[in-house]
Amino acid sequence: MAENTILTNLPIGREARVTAVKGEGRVTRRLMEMGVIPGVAVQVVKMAPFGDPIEVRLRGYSLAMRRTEADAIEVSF
Amino acid sequence: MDTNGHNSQITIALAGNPNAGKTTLFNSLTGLKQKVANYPGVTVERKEGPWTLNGKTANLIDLPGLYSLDATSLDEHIASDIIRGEQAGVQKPDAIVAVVDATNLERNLYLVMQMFEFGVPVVIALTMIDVFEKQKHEIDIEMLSARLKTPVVAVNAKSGRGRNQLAAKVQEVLHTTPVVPYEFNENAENAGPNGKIFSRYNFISEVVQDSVWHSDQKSHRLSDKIDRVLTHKFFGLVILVAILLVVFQTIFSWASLPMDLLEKGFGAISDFVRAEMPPGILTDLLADGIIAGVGGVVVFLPQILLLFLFISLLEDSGYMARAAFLLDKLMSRVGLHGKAFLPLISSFACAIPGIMATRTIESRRDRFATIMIAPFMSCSARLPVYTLMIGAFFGGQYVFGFISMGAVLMLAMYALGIIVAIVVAGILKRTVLKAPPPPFLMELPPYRLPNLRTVFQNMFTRALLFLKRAGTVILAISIILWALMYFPRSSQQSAVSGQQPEVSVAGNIPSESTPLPESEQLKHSFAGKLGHVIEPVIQPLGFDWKIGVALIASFAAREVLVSTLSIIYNVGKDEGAESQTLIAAVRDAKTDDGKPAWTPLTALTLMVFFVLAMQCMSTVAIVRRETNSWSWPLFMIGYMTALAYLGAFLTYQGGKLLGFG
Amino acid sequence: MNIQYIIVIAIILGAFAYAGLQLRKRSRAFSPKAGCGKEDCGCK
Repeated sequence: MAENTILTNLPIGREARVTAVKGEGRVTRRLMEMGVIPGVAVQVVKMAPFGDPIEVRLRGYSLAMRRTEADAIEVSF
Repeated sequence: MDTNGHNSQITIALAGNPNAGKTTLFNSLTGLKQKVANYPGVTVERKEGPWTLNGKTANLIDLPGLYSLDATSLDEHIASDIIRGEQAGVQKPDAIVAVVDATNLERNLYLVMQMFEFGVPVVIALTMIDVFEKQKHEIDIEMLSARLKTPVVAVNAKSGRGRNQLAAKVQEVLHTTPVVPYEFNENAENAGPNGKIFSRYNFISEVVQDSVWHSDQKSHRLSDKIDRVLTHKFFGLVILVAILLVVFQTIFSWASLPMDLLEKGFGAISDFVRAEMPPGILTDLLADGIIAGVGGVVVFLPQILLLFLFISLLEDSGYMARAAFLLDKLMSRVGLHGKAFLPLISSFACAIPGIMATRTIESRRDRFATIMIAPFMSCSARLPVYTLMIGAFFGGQYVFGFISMGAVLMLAMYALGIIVAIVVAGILKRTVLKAPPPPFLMELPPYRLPNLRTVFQNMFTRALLFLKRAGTVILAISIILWALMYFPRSSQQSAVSGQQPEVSVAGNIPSESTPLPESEQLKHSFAGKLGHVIEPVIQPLGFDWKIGVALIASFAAREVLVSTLSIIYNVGKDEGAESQTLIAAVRDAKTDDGKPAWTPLTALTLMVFFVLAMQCMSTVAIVRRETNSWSWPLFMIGYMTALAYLGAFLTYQGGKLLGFG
Repeated sequence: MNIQYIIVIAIILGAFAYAGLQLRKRSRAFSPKAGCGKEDCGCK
């Protein structure tokens, strides 16, 4: 049974797939160009001190982003 | 054909993601015969070099590292303009070499997809194959090439292996038109402005699936293990501080022996000149002006080398990105961009390239905020000043028994700069440069062993530049300062005071024909008069007029403080005195009323001043360029000078109140 | 005025001239005009 949540709430180490990337504007576009598009497999690796930013693994590399960015990414696992 | 219709050299553009090995490849293809300049109208760095393609020489342009040609930041704009042939002064490339990192295939190929759409023939240079294979994956290069409809050549960026094949393939594709290997599916779901992005990645996923075996999720295993410690929620920051302490401590201890040797060497040269040359003004200029001034700065060469060694090691290994990750929360609290981290770190070497590096920051206000605070990152020119002060008054002391006081104070000075920078950024972002909080999107490249050859090449280049600066700018300033301290010569006093000129005795250092002892001469010289004029202003900071002269001179270049002190304490030296080390001279220096000119508190005050003051004309120049107005650089000079005075004042007076006077 | 003096004055004037040239170069530094490039970094 697939569970849906946002990337910020994805438990560390759990693999999931992106279902939607919300938002318009430069940041969203940049996120997608870095490979965060619906269908891609992602995983949260860790969080920095104070919980922000977080490190995300996708397409074989590590991307650091803030919680605000991660909030806009919907995933399913 | 360039824009004038002339048939010129073949132009090849080298493009790719950051961290893909592009610059290393560029270096090995052009053999370091690069030319670095700026693009007209902007301060984006323009790097070109000659690349031999089977007899003919092509012009290879190293484009800035980018993730996408849908430009968002300044350097991406430039790169895409260049590829389209719309960048003034640059010929449209006849071909593009796309550097693709095999360990990061999908994201790297995204950029390549965009290149196809520009209609310029592409050859893919696939780097890091060895790393990729070590991680137990395999790439079928032929399949990749067939699916992408473009040649793919495996290269080793460091050793240059594969470059002949690369050159051959580039020759093949010249004057051909690339085929876009996929179609935009107009009717796909989620089409719209982002439809292209999806099409590209969907295609890429297919291609990668067909050409790569054993795509493994655990590809970053070792880096992850290291990161678990280094970016730990709590210990990560502690480790960061510890690493910095160790770096400073090492710089101190390893540098002290070579520095001693250099100093003794210059002292010996100076004594030699005095002994062998006939007494006279030229001898004075050589010994007290040139050797003292230039030598005073050159002794710090070992320090500078070690500083750059560590900066390179930290950068190359990938640790810097982790540090940015750790500190981002702190930086974003003051509205600083995560991308500001790298420019700020570069500023620890020199603010100029650091300020240039801010062009990757998209928002103008964020960029300006970063530019304004970059000079607070204590640059390498401040190092001689810190070292002299610490060496003279805080040497040999230890905190907790094993951490040297020197390292702690160094760290404190650097930390002071950082703290002030954060505060200033916070203020700026809340007032003049208010903008929405910036996003943070940064790749964390896997750790790698620093390329020692690059590191040492870097150090060597820095050393040469340092020496060149010493031999030109510092030399000129030393001569001028010496002249200001030497002239006008006072001779009237002899008649008044009745002092007899000393008679030269064979074997002794012959005396000058001037009647006044040198220490008195100094007071009546141009420099001396100037120093006395400003003395009231700097007295509340604990400085005497000689220090004042040095302070003024250091606004031309920070290291000049050391040169000036060296000259002042030499020029003001009386006959028969042997040349001392600068540290000894500083300790012995006296004010006009015979009290010590320097105390540990004064030394600390001076350091604080240097942390906060704007003393670099080149920085002012580049801020003027980057902000395109005079108001920002003038503002910077103004508030930093005021801050420096205030900081020094508080340090000195506060220290006296606490009894450290 | 011996030869030493003349040499010294010449050196000093040379230093002033060099400094002046540098100042002028710095004020044009990093400019998009031809001839100004990254070499204008006076810090490294």
